[in-house]
Amino acid sequence: MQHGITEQQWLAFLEDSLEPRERMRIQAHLDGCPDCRNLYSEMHAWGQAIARGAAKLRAGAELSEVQIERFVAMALIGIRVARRESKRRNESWSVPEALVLLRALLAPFCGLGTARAAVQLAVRESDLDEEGSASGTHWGKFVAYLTQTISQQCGISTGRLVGRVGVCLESGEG
Amino acid sequence: MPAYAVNEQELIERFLSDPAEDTFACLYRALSPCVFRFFIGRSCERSVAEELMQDVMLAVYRQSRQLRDPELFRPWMFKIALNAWRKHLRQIDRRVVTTDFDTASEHVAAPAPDPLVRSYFRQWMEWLDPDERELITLRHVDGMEYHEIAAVLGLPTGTVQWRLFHTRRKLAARFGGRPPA
Ligand SMILES: [Zn+2]
Repeated sequence: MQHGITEQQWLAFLEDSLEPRERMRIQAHLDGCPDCRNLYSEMHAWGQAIARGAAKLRAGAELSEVQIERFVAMALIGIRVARRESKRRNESWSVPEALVLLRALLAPFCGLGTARAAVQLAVRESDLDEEGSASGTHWGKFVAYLTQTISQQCGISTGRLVGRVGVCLESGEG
Repeated sequence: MPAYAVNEQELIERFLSDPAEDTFACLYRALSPCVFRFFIGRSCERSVAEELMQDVMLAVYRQSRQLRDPELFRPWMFKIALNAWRKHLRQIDRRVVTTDFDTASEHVAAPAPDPLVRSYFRQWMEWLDPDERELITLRHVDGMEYHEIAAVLGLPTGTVQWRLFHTRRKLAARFGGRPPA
């Protein structure tokens, strides 16, 4: 509080959101008070400087529609995994089911062709039993191998995603 | 009422009354950019911001039944984001202790869109106390209303305004009444 003007009133005055009578009262005070005029001009300048800095920061934070669609797809798959898992706790997915899911997950990021090829390669390299369940040493190797390939081909964040989903499929966390 | 409110509020209400995949997808498209910005605004690397955004949106889906008042949705969501951010910082802290600093700092340095303006803003933010920095970020980077910030931080709205005003005064006292343009 300074000279009968509260902090809330100062902010509202600076943002031009005060009701007319209050606004006029404060304006009249400012006209006759150099201290408050000085404070006003400092706070106004700082408000603008902060807004400019914040706007620059926001400008670097755009997501394209394509990117958003990918994240939506990824989230929906995450939800389906979770829902399924809550139905059959402690039970791992079968390998065929898990592979279908991983391919669907990867397709929006790397294209279906790359997704298929990467999954197939990881199955071969890890000696994964295609009739078995998504668990155990071979599944662990498969996930590690796929994570590595995808990180190299589609970027680290997609690779990490594969790693996370691979672990969820095995542990039933969802 | 801010410009985002009309359409967004509708999507929020639709999702809360029927939290299904399609209503969630619409909500996701509308709100994920704010959540992403939330993390970038805290100098988070893009790929980490993407991961944290995804975590927050999935938490919104999972926990939506706990929230009944659509009016409180945005503060509630930002509270989830703030908790995710604090948890992430704690994890980085731990990593800094156990690994070398270069590896950990990769996760916090965002690319600078305009080095000069950004560096001033950064300098100010770094100089402020964490609570003050959080307030300025919520208000100016995340574009939240005072009452929304109050709900996120669990403070009275008047206190939020009081602190925001004094944070500006503190900046002026330290860096001068005329900040660089
Ligand atoms: Zn005065």
